Amino acid sequence: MPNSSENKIVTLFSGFIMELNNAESADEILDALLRIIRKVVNFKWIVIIDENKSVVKRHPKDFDVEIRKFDELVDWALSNRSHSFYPVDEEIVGLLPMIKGDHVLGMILVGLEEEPKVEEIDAMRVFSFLSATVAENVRLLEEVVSKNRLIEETMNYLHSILDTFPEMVIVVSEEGEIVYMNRRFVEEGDVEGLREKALDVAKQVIDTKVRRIGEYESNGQFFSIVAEPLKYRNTYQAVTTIMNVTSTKELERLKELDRMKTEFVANISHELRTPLAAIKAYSETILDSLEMLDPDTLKDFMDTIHKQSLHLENLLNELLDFSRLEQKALKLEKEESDIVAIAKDAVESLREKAENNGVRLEFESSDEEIKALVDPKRIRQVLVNLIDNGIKFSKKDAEDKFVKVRIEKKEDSVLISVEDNGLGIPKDKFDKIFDKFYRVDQSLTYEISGTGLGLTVAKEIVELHGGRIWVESEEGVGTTFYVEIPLKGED
Amino acid sequence: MVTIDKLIEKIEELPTPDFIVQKIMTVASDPNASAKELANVIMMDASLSSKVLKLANSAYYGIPRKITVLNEAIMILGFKTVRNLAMSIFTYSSLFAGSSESKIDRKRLWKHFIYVAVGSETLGELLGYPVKEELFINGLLHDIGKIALDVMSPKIMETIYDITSKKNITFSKAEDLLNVPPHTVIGGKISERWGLPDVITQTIEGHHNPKMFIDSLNAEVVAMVHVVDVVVNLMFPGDSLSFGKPNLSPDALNILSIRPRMIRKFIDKFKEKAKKAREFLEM
Repeated sequence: MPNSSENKIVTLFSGFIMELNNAESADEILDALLRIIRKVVNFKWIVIIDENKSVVKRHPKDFDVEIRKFDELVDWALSNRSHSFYPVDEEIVGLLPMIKGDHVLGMILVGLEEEPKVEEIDAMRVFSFLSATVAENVRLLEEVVSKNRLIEETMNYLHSILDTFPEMVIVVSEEGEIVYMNRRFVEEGDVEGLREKALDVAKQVIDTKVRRIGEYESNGQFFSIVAEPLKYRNTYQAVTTIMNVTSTKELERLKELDRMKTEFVANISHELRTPLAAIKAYSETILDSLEMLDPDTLKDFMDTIHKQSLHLENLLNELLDFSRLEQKALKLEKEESDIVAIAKDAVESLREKAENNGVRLEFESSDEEIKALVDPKRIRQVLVNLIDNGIKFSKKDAEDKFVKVRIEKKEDSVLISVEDNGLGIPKDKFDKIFDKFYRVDQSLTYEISGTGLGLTVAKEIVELHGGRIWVESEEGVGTTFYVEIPLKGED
Repeated sequence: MVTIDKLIEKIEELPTPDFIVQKIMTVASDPNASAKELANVIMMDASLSSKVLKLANSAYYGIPRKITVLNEAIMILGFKTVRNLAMSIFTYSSLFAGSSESKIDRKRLWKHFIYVAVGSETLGELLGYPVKEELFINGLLHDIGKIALDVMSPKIMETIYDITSKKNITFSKAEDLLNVPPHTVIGGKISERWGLPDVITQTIEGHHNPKMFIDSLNAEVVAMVHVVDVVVNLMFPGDSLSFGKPNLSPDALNILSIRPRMIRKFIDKFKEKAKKAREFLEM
């Protein structure tokens, strides 16, 4: 009855496929296989062994089979990939290898009371093949899934490590696209221009295949950028690390300031002590030997005491100005004044000192009189300071030392220059000389006296007038300070 | 020149499988048959039974214990394998029973039959084809047309052999040159006449051109026998009276979705199996 048997096969297959569909593990597939074989043939017992001949399924549950009894047959059937039935003792033992392609997954051993029919044998063979295929696929799938899970876990682990970095990390592809960014970059990388700068450094790395370092500054924030080449598949990428070094920079600045303050205190103590020591010494001499001193000598001594007290006053004024400046409390008292007269006065006040130092002091002006709205005392203070510097920083042993003061009237302003042929200032220090406490010669030798505040105060005064001060200098040749002040006062 | 019709007339003269072989084929394909029934049929011919038992116990199967009863042979090796054995014995006897006028080396032709049978079964095993025994019989009978040609017209056969060996060309090419009916067509006719299953007829007809049956239920079987036939012809040129380089059909590789790497693997395995098939060569 071919029709009925064909129908039976179709029914069996339908049931089996449904079971396989619902099976989620190799184990469930084997359960389905046992059930389907039960429908095909009446077995006394059934055992499924794996490729190492260990029992993975059995029915009845308590059925104890001595697999070793069939060892030879099992080996033969496995190596021949043959499905066969052996009469063993009183029963027929079916050996059905489970094969997927070239891979033996195990074998079904089934104990039958009587010889199976062709159809039953064929059905069992096909089912064992089918379940082997499905089981192998499920196993592969499980393997892939668990590998994927492992990969995912590892990825997450690495990601969380990268996320805890204090640095921002990005990876840039050959096409110049960011293919990875850590959380730090996502949270802190949104700084204007930073991304572009980092991409620029990364591009250099991709082009040159060597490490590159860059810096970036934006709104008072400093960033250090380090990019390393990374070979990925057949392309090069750039692992780019961005560090916000603002606090480091700030710390450096504060440290430097602290060092300068310490230096300043030492310096200023020395500066104050010098005139004080002179005053003390001369006044003591006068007190001890008043009756022995002739009036000329006495006058001389008193003169020195007076000069030194003036010097002391100057120093204290400078300090006072500075502290006002620090507190933003420096106020100008502007009035219509003649700049030429102020400058002449400043020059004259230092003429004696210049002569004592062998420095020629020259003065010239484009106009007889230049009227401007300024604080005359302060402007004089600035010029005295600049001329005094010129005298102080002259070359000790040089011949024909000079300080030239020139005044030139411009359309809306007056330009005053103070030129010397002294020691000069290194180019890289031009900015710093106006910083508080800064002295180009940082050694503590005090060869040249000064508080280191003069130019700071001068700059402040000039800027309060709405003007500007700058310097041109060449080391060993000389220095020219320029002060430009608007005629009509601050804009 | 010989026409196919004239040849077909001559097919009548070919030995037909006797009653017992036909009965074996029928019983082996009956889903409700039992081992006992098949055993009973084979036992009707005492010499066939003993030859079947001899092959069942041969190194090719390597059964760990000796089989003395046909019933057991059928149970252990399966219906289809036992059928294959009976068919092999019959084919062998018909190859050697024909006219002895021909000068072709029938032993080598037989070796080709067995190697393609063994090879097909091996390839089936490698590719995970569940009923690999079916491949054995298909491989065994694929060149049956050549036996027919030899029996019907030994002269043509000899001419073909002269051309293929001297010009170093394939059997099919020589058929073309001589304009003789191809062995695939002749074989197909015989298969039909003998009442063999469709799959065997299609394998015989399509084993040089698997594309013919690309949409058939039997496409895989035809393709596998084709691949094995090509490999065996390459390894043993001349056995099947074919020389030169046989064409490997890309369609066959597509049908089976195998890569050339797989063929190397197959060759290794085939060499191993062929060594064990010695008893089949000297029946």
